[in-house]
Amino acid sequence: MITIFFIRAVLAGVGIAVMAGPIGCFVVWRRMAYFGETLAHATLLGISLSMVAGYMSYLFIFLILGGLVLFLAMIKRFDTLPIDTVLGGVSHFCLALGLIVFSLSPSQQFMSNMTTLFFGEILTVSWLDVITIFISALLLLLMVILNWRRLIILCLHQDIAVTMGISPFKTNIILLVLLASAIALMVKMVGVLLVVSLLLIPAATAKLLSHSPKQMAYLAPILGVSAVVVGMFLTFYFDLPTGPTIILVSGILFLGFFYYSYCCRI
Amino acid sequence: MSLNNHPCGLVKNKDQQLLLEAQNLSFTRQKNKILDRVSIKIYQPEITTIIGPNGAGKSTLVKILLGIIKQDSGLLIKNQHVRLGYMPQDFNISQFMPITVAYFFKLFVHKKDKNYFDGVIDFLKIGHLLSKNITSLSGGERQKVLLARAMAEKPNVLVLDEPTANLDIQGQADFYHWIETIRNQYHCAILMVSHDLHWVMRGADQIICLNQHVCCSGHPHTIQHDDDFKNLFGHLWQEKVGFYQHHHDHQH
Repeated sequence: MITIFFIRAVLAGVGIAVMAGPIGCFVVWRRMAYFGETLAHATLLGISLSMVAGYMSYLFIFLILGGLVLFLAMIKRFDTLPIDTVLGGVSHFCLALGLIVFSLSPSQQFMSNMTTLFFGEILTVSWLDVITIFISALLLLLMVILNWRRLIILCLHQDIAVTMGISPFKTNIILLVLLASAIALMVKMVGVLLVVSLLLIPAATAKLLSHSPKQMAYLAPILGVSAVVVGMFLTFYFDLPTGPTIILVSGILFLGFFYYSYCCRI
Repeated sequence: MSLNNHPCGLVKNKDQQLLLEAQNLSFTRQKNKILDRVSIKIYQPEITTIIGPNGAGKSTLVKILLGIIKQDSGLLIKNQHVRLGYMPQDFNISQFMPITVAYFFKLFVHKKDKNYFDGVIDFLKIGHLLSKNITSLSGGERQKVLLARAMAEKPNVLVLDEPTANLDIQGQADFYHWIETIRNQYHCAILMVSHDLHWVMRGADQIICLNQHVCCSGHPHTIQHDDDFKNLFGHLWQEKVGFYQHHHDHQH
């Protein structure tokens, strides 16, 4: 029987997939996958801190993410190490620190809560969570639409963007805010692994089927929503873990369209 | 040919308008002097080419003129009517973004300029590329698309940074042909960085030899007698071939 908490979870998942789709396209275009994962792991650290402190989770998350972005910007200026090396190190440092802090939290069931951190527990979201997701999805998408042209031109060529009067600094800040807000919201609801997957896999699938950036940005949320809905129903009928099932479905969708686009279309 | 005392050694007609002028630009990075008191004047509709060895600061100069980076010292004076069109050296477009030529142009062309830009597309004969994905274009097609994009804002100064670097010989010849016809059709000033001395000597109105500082500058006819020029490029450019004109009147 479909219960109200199931409908709530589906709604939350749909909202997250809609938000993740277009932002995930920029992650693909700008090769920011590793960066996104680092942000997600840092969010985990923020959540752990707030659990120990017992309050104000978003405050902790945004403080950690802000600090991380400043730190990465500083490291990049020195230009001594390749950026993926830095991101890999920082990402796992945050993850380790997050887990240590988390083990100090008063909660009794450490292991079961840890699975929640990684895969989230979308089935336990409240109506307030659902409303938060939909309002933020709306705001973030509005931000994407209003800044669409400059975000795209900056993806294409930085120098051309500058000669068009587009500031790379301001535009990159907009992209960072979009990505960080989306990740912060999503990690709290659905866990680290599902966040990165929902950003990357639907966008990658949409890339296979699109001829323009706009088309890709429309298709990615549609594919994400399909994966969420199908995954949730599989979870419901076969009693599978929710987060992993959603990732699995979006992965299978990708493989299907990959096969279609390279083998069937000549 | 009568020459006056103009620094470019050229007689300026009344219809030649000074669009862009740089005075004593200097630029230093990490204690390396990249540009040292470089001065340059861009007139409409002249073709000005910057030549010089690798690391001479050619791209840096172009980027300062375009406002992409800022000079440490020196003045950049722009005529109030100046509109710059920029064609970059490389097109490091993300191969992961699916984008057609038509969509690419739409990002840059203002709605009211649509008729004008359709004219540019016809002029460059790239209408058949519009539905193609940018990453699937050949080198020559890609350069033409970039050239068309630089024309999107109706520029009166076209700035081209080594536009033929990735083209084969026929592609280079074709591209230089397009640049000359664009100048004749749209009467814009053209500033370009080039390595092709043969074309430069034949096609340019003003040559600037750059090696951190301006070694010599002037019209091809005068500059080839310049001692600095002979020192830098004499082995590549003998006067006896100086008047050899190569016409690209056929294609292969």
